[in-house]
Amino acid sequence: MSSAVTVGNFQETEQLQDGQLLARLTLPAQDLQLDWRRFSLVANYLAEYSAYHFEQKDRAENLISSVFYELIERLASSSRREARLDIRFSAFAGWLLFELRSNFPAEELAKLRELLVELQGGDQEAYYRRLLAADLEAGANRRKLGLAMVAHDYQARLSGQLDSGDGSVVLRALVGEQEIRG
Amino acid sequence: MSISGERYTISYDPLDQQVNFEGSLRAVNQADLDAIREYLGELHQRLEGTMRLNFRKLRYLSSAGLRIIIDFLKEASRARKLDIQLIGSKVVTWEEKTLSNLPALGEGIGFQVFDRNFYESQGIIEDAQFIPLLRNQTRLLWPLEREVLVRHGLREGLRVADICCGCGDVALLIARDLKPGFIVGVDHSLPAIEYASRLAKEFKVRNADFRLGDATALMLEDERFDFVLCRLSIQIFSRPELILKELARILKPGGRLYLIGEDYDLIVGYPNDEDIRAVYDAAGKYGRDIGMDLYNGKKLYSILNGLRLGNIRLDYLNVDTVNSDRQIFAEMIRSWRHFSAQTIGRELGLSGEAKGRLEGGYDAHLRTIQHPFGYSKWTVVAASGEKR
Repeated sequence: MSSAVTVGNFQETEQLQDGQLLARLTLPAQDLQLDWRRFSLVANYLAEYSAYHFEQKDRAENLISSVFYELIERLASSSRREARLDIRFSAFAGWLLFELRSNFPAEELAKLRELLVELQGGDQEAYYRRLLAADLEAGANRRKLGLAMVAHDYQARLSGQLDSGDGSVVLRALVGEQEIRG
Repeated sequence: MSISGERYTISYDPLDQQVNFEGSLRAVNQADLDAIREYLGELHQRLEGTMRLNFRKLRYLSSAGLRIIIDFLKEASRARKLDIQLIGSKVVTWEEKTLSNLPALGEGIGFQVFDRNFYESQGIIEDAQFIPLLRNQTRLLWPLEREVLVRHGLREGLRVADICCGCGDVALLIARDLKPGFIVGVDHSLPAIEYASRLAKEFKVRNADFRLGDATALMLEDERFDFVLCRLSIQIFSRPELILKELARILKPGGRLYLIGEDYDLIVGYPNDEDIRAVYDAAGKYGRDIGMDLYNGKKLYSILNGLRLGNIRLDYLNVDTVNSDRQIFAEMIRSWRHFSAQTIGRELGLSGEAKGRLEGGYDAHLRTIQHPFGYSKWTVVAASGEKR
């Protein structure tokens, strides 16, 4: 029996696997954990590399980098030291797909699952307002803002496949290409 | 006053009570976050009216950086001391998407995407040829001039007049930083006075007033002021003695008259030193042809003596590429270039070739300023004397 749990509409992004893969990087999680400036380095690299596919190049670069930064920070900082972070960026039929794969210790996996479940709730606007109004320095909230910001500000549909058996994590953010336009 | 980290700079522009964020606020460590929190908190304590947070040049903001901004906004909203205006740009994608949510954090927080109508009268004011020039000159001079004004006797509680105050930036800086009892700014430009009055209202400056007036016939009583300023203005009038007489008239016995003058002989730069010298010699000559004196700085001592003022003090304010922001310095020179070649050039009917030579000279000066190893200096003369 599989120990994998799917949160969010993970299946809807499956078809996008056949979309245009614009960039893919595989990096040791430990490298990123050792120097957090690498989150930004990687996010900017992927964004600059991919942005030329879009009409509004500067706005696309900023969006891709902003979304990737939060996803990379969240996954890399929670990964097992020996994990490898697999990062992919695809575009297909008006959608942008940000995908990250890694491997988490059990406790971190549970926290990410809890957050992803919260982000699937009905009134996302109210959820985000409550989060902004809450004490953001408090332990649980401190690490929620990044993904919540991506979900709210970029209308990203976040989904994940988390396996408590082997600790594997796949996190996807699906963003409409119209979010690039000003 | 600024703080910076590896990839960000946060600076304060007192002209607009504006905190400017530049670079990237990501992967900042706790010490940086604490420093930013403290910096914003200190400014919040000092200011009145509206505080602007300008993010237009902040390319990236992570959720950790956003947390600091949110915490500051919540505290500011709770304190209800200031209105906070957030300024973003349409060019940088995250700004509109993220900043637009923040006014909901509490009362007194606004968000505006910058465009040309950011200020109600910006179209009039900032398209007027002189206003951007004056504002950049003030940005460069004020960090040096503040101390000079104190040395020349401007202190808390005095009654002060700033004649030919333009859009009121210096009068407002004096009102907020040096705490005179009262400062009145007078200028002959209605849009400038309206602009200054609006800024005073927005920043809740209660000890300043702005009036439309003619500097050669001031509607101000005799011997009313302890300190009278006239900055970078008498040089543009063909009969400065008419203004000087008025400045002396409204000054109390024992009060001080403070003047700032230009001196194009003192503008230098390297490399391109010969081109720089040539263009200011030419610009100075053309200025003289339309009744301006762009060398009056060296005459201020004589002028003040001629007005029978005593206890004369004189300082050079040296703005250079070491002590000032090269970008602002370059923007000022671009305004000079336009004013000299186009405005004065048109007035004098200069040929295309003559205008081209002027523009080429200013371009050489701009290259020097923008060259990372280039050096340039703009010097003005500040002088004051006491009425006996």
